[in-house]
Amino acid sequence: MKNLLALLLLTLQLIFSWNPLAQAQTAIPPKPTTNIYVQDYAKVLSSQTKATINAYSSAIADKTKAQIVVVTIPTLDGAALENFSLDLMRQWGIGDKEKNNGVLLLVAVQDRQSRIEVGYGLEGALPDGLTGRIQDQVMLPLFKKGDYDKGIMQGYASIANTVIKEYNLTATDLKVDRVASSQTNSQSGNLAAAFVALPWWIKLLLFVGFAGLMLVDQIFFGGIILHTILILFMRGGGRGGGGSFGGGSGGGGGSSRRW
Amino acid sequence: MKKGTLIIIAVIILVIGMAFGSYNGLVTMNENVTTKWSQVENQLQRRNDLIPNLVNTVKGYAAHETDVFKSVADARAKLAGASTVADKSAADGQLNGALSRLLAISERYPDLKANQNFAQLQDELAGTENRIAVARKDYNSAAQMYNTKIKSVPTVFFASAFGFQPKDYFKAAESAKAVPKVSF
Repeated sequence: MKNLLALLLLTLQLIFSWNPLAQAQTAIPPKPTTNIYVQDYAKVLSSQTKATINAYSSAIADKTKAQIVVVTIPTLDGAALENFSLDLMRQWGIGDKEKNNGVLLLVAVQDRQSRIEVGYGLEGALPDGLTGRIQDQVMLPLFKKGDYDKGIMQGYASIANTVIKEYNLTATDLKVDRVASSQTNSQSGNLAAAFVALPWWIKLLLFVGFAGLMLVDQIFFGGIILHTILILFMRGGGRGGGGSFGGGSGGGGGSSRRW
Repeated sequence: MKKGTLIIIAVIILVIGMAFGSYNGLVTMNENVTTKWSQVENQLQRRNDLIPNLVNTVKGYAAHETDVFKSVADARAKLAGASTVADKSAADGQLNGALSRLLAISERYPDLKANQNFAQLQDELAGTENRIAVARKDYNSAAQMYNTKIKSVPTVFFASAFGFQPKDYFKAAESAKAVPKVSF
């Protein structure tokens, strides 16, 4: 009886969820929850580039809610570049829900196609002509040489600078001082950058305080505190990549290139 | 007797409630279709404003290609004069064809192709075509949702009484389906 009921419910579910209007969609990668600002599915980016993009994008998002996202894919599998990139932007929700200020830099490596997709809210700062020029002058010459890492990094820098300027900020306002090359995780990248930015006497104070705590820990608690801290760090490592997409949308602004 | 009256009253209240619910739902969906349509018109207008610049730039290098200029001007005027969704989608297809012929010219004139201004205009045009395609898709799916709703039970019993008519789709002409690609 229970099984029959379950079968009935499943059938009903199928009937109601079947939607003749739904069109065959291109396979958009699932929305990432970590390192949301750079997804290198084609594996062409160095960890330095990924860390830099993550650090700058999250700093820009903190200040302005604008989200600049870089995605590389091996191939579009025959899908149209414009459809893929808009679907990705809308499904992930790049940019703020109200401001729609998202930018997506998409590179399909094997198809030799790239696109800068601009959300409604940044179409004024990044008109189609400018996005085309960024690709022509900064990215494509490097792509033609096969240097995707540098091409994407420089293209990203041009986009980020334009967005920063739109919000009347400068790179120094973002307080991204230095990005450790070994950090691919934006959260620990930010922490490391924040630590580097601290004045020397605070670092000294932190160090002395920590050493003192460890001493007390070893003498009185048999190292329990150290153990707890280590466990917390292990857990933190798995989470990482702070921030989430804002639910922004776009209407097909931007430009595409082949090389 | 008393029980029967209660049931009748309950049914009447239920029907009125359903009618209100359907009506409000339809108003929302109708508004949505209207918003999406104004986005289509926005983008069509944007392209219409862009065309004179583009044509003038091409004329500077290829003044004698008068046929193409004329077909662009004709299609543009036709689109500007169209009022219904069906007329607009037909005129849009024609303008698309004329514009891709205009862009094809640039292949034969290396100086034109190398012109910075022309590259930028081409990007703006390609971007606008893409925006039109997106707006059209958004409009069509809103119209489809609305049309499905007014033909579904129970809305179908109220829709025509409240004056909700089915919406036309903005069809892309076969030739206009491909967005002009800029490639160097």
